[in-house]
Amino acid sequence: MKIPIIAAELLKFGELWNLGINDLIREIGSKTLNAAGISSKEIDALYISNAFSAKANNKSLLNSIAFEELGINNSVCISSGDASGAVAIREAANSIMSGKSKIAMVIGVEKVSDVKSNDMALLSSDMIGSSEYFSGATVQSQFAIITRKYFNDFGIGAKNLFFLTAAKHRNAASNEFAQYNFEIDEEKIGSSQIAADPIRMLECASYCDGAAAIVMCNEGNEKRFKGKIQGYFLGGSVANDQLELAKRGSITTMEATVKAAKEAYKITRLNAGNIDLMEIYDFVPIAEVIAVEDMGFAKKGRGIKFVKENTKKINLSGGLKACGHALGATGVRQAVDVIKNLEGKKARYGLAQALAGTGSVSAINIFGNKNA
Amino acid sequence: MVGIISYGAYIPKYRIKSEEIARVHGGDARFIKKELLIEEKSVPNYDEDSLTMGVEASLNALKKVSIDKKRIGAVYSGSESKVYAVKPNAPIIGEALDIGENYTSADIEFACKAGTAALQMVLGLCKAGFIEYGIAIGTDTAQSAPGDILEYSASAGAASFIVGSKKDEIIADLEMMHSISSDTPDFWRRHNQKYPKHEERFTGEPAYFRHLVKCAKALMEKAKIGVKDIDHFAFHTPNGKFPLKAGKMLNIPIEKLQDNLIVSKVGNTYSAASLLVFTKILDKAKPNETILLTSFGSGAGSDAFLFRITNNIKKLKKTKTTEDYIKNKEYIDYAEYCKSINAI
Amino acid sequence: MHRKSGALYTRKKKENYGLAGSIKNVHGIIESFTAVYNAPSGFEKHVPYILALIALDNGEKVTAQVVDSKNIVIGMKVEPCLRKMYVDGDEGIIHYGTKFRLVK
Repeated sequence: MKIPIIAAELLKFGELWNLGINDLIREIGSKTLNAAGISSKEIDALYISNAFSAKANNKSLLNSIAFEELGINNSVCISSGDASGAVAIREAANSIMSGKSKIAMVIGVEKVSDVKSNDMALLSSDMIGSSEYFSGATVQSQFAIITRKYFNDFGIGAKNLFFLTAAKHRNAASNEFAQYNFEIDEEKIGSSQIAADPIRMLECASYCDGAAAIVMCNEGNEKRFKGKIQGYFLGGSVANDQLELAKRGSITTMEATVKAAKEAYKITRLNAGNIDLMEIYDFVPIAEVIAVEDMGFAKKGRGIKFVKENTKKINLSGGLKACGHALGATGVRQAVDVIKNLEGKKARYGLAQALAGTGSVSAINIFGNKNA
Repeated sequence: MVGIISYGAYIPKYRIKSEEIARVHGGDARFIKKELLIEEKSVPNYDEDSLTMGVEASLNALKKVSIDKKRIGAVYSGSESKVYAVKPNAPIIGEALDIGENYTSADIEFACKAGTAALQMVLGLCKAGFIEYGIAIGTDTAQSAPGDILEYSASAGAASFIVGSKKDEIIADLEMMHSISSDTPDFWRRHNQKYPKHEERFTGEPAYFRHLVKCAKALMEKAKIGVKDIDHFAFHTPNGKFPLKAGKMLNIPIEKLQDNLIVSKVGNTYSAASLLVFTKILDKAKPNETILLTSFGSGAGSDAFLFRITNNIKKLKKTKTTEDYIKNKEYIDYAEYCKSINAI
Repeated sequence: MHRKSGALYTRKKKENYGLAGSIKNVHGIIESFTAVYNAPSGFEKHVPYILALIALDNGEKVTAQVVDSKNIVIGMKVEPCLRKMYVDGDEGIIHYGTKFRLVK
């Protein structure tokens, strides 16, 4: 499989006070259609990915809004928490592969800045198990439990991870689309308030507004869009696991990622050794560490060493942490960032991985550069 | 024959000292400790209430014996801090204890004698043959206005009793009951008021002493038994001074009143107060000993019971004792205390 | 916090507080834990609170709060207790559930 991506665009992530969710859809939609050089009438399948519009914006029919704002007719909403964007990309690719559509678009969008800070933790409560939520848990608290277990099992301390957040901010310093595109030193990170012990506030990604979009075409249209091709979609997978930590096996492994990686490598006939760069779900530092282990880049317990040695190959954009995490848009942003950075012989294949919540969904997409 | 077949206590682990309350309100800690004999009181954690404590005490009672829970036919909970204004504690406690659904239940209110009133009702249902076993609970997270003298004593605790009528199960046989009731406005709380009001010194002689002493005397006459034949006395404990004074009025030697001083370390647990003196006594009582339990509830009234301990008391399994709860403590300051009782 | 109906309460009550009322002396071991400072609405008044992943001796695991306890360490033994989980404002239902505390 090799699906041409003919446009890949971003809006800057952050607190976009002047843009409501309709505006975000319109702005990213028109920017991306312009980049592809086509009108909205040519899109015969649109997948809009979003996590919280029903709660945060009191709007659930984002596909209807896409029709209002962009005139796009054939669209569905994809909702899968923070993995929505990654899942939507796979669905768009499937519609091309099946012959159902010729030119498919994915728009990822999230608008959370209208929500009061008190209610932010409440937004994400629907991504964890109901008995976890009943006891006052949050996505952060569950990741903190995972983090402490990882520290305990592999003899590591919290201070061994501060470098990772600092590295991501260094990467983001040159990314005009990142919300926090400035450096933060380890000392500041390590002395910030505790969010959920042992995770510090400055180590945790924060929810923000944002939008990202890509357009794919079928083989039949590849020649027409030759000058516009940014890269290729080579294959993707989605896998699931239990919502609750209490019902999983070992919590220091994300089973969903293990399954998704296996499947993605199978479809693309690639393996970890072929991957030159990646955008990984780093809601908290340990998520990134565990992800590289689960995807076969390092043995269990040795993930920190791998990420330390590869800060220039992982989350070049700055990751969720430095870009800001616009949930429904993040999976698409990761894809755009992978594609933008894949160039030349040294960067042939790239991978984007996103979890939903604490790992009950894992979605992995693999891309190739223009010459793949 | 009817009587108690098991019992359990529960006291939350947090304590605030009288000195700490006095520090904030400019009170006289020496007076409180020397005259009222209250050194410290129990404070519930923010997530505890009369219901959660009632369940804890009842679990301690159930764990001492091996009865079929589904044969419990009644749960009565006595409290002046029941968790809803309308929706009783009793069936929530019954459900948490998983006793099935074939039982009667209700909540009782009579200030500090609500627990003994519940006990009388369950004893009655059992003696009449309507139920096989019943649970009676006295439980309170007592309320007091900040700065009021009652703040030094209003505390939290629960006691639970399983009642039955089988000779080989009864550990404390009920020999006699007597009660006194009157309309005496010594302490009350109107609807929608957060804290109760009291008539200060009027709560003493015309209220507590008149009812409790009269009731205890009447019971002893009815049972044709004298102070010298009774081994232990459990009275209501609004402070340490009152039960000792009542004892003096009845010519009870001080050794038989010692257990009432639980109030010095725990405070006044209202509906559980006289009942926790009772559980403390039961923890060490020997077969054939007698116990006179007399409660006092403002409003006002008094319930008195004469129990005789049987050999079956030796068969009870061990669970946390009243003394275990008294000793398991952690001190908090006034700010933490305010948070716990939701005053801030 | 969004409203939890009386029907939801009734469906969930066995799951929520069944363990706390058991006479079976169920114990658990703390597998991991955290102290939550950034709490969802309804829980902010009492931060920090401890959440732990507990392995019960009946083979199951739960995520639950650990109360009345200081200096928690992985491996400590805990027992269940019935506690108020959450109150739905001034007018709504009081929700009871299972928390844990250290066993002496």
